[in-house]
Amino acid sequence: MHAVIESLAKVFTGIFSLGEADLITIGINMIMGLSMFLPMTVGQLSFGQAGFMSIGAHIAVVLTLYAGVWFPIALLAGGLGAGLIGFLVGVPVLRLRGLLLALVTFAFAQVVEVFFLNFKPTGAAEGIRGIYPYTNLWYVYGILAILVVFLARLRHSRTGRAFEAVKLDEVAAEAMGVNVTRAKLMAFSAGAFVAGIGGGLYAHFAVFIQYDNFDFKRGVDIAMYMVLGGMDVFYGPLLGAFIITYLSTALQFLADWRWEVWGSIVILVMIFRPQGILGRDTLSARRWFRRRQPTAA
Amino acid sequence: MKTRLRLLGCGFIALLALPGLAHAFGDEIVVGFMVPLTKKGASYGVQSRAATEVAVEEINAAGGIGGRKLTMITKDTEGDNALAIQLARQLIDKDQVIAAHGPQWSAEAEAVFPICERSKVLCFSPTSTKPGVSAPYPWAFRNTVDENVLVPQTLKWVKDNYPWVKKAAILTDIKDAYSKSLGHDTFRPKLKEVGIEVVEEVDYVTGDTDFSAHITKIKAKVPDMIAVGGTWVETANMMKEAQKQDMKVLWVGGVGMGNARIVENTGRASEGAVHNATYDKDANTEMNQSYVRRLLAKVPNETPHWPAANCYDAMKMLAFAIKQANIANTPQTLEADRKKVRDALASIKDFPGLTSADGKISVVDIANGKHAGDAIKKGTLIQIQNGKFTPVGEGKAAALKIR
Repeated sequence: MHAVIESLAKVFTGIFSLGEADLITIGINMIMGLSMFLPMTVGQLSFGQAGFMSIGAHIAVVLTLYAGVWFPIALLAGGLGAGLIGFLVGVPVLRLRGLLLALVTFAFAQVVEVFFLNFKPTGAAEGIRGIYPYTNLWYVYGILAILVVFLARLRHSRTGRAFEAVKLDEVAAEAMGVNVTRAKLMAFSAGAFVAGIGGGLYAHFAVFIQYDNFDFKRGVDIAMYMVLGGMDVFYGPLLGAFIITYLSTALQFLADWRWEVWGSIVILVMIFRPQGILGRDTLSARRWFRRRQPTAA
Repeated sequence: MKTRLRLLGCGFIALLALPGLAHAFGDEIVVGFMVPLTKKGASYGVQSRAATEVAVEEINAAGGIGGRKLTMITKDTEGDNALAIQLARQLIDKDQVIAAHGPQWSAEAEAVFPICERSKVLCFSPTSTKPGVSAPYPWAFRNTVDENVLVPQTLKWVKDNYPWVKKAAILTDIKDAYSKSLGHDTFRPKLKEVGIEVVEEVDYVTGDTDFSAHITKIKAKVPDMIAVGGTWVETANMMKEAQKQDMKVLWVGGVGMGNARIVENTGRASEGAVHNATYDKDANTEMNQSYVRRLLAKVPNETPHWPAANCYDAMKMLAFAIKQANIANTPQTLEADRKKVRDALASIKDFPGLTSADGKISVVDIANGKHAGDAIKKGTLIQIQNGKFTPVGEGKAAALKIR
């Protein structure tokens, strides 16, 4: 019994002794969670983020490793490359909705995976090694901070409100004069751009990449950050990414039972909070600090 | 509501106040172990963990390392590079291990070895087979042999026993780094060296099940043998397809062919196939018998496989190195101790192990003036004769009627 309590205590106390590698991984996963969240702001569920991550990672690595480009520029180039592909893919794909879009983006990620499996200049099946570990806490959390500020500002901007309108009802939004196609394309390419940046950071942290680092399983993981954390507000995926990444190391003491515990947590969250842990009003001060009013009126 | 929150807060603070497990130096030697137990690689990892645990238990039953108890901290890498990096750093920084056993996959090793190098901690991968992974990192070692050493032995034996082998085809799994390098970088030049002409090369990817097109293409060139750069699962399907197309040929593979289930899956189709293995699960030595007995007590429904045996040997070698290093095992001397352990492991010669045909494993620290980090072992040629994995010495080749 004491051992169980001690282990549980360690799961909590571990939060205060996270190492640099843990924090970097958490930060990168948070960025990936946000890249998933951006298409969601217009109601698009994309499973292709792993594919965009792969594109960004490969572009950034090729630039730093073979062309000696300064790391931030390489990151940006990786992001822009992924964003451009996202734009090109988005034009035909965004006519689809819901499940169909999820399937097509999923297929896109597969195409990217097979492309890098056969693409000789980036090592094909052998991958690329010898990448310099440029990624540090400053890069990861600096970029994350910029993204958070951007998303927080976006919520109440004209574009943000247009996104929101598209998400709630496309037809009504169009009737109100919102350019639906433009809004969707913007959100989707922005998501791809962020995924590309995340990929560049990942590559310069893992110092070795190969095609199957960005496979379907990573796509599902990225989706889980958002689904678990909450898909209505931008800090939802942040919490989701933190919990999932942290628990994958903190629950190590459970050994074979880890995934059972983990699965149960997800099921419970889905039962009690189908919109994810953080909803629109979870962190609202008014909700938590207002006086209880008698409901009968 | 307020009371509940307050209670929750108190509980949380109480939890924080509980003393964490402090790492014990002195009478306890702590070694890290990285292995995939879930997701990718779990099918190998579970037995590998059991094998390593057997090794640790045996070491402790025999009095530990110089009277000190050996403790192993197991981390599940899930076959994921980023997680493997996190776990390696936790083992090195937080758990302050003296050395790390693992990681298992070549891809994980590519990501973790640079960390070992930077942190100056020995990382000893028992099963990574992709060529050259440990070469750039002097703190990285592997308990595996280069296929470039084993394949020429196999081909020489084939040449000696089946002089009619003149033409060969190569089938390569291009999705797997080990298989790809075995097919393209090892079989291709080595076949040429022994004077066997390569008449056809066909690539496939891990997970393919239908090989009718591949075999048809190869059959048109009428080769005498097919060299497979791949693992046993796909090889079994190829053999079945070749049998279906009534193509008689000698199959030659690498370490990856070494799983007895290949016979169960193919029946007569695999007859005569040759590969070079470093571990023979039926070896009639006392060491192997007792290992298999203890292993099967932990994982009763499995067939002993080579990665697990490699893990067992690696743990024994690590313990031996720690003993030789004569470490002080205090927090202050950790850095020096890690260096001593690395140097001790690097100089292991003729270590008695399971995974070498002559029972001797040596570690190659420096080869051609550069760090290599791989092991030297003797392979056993195994031929499938009458549906059984049969170790073949000189003159015991099966009478194959192919030409």
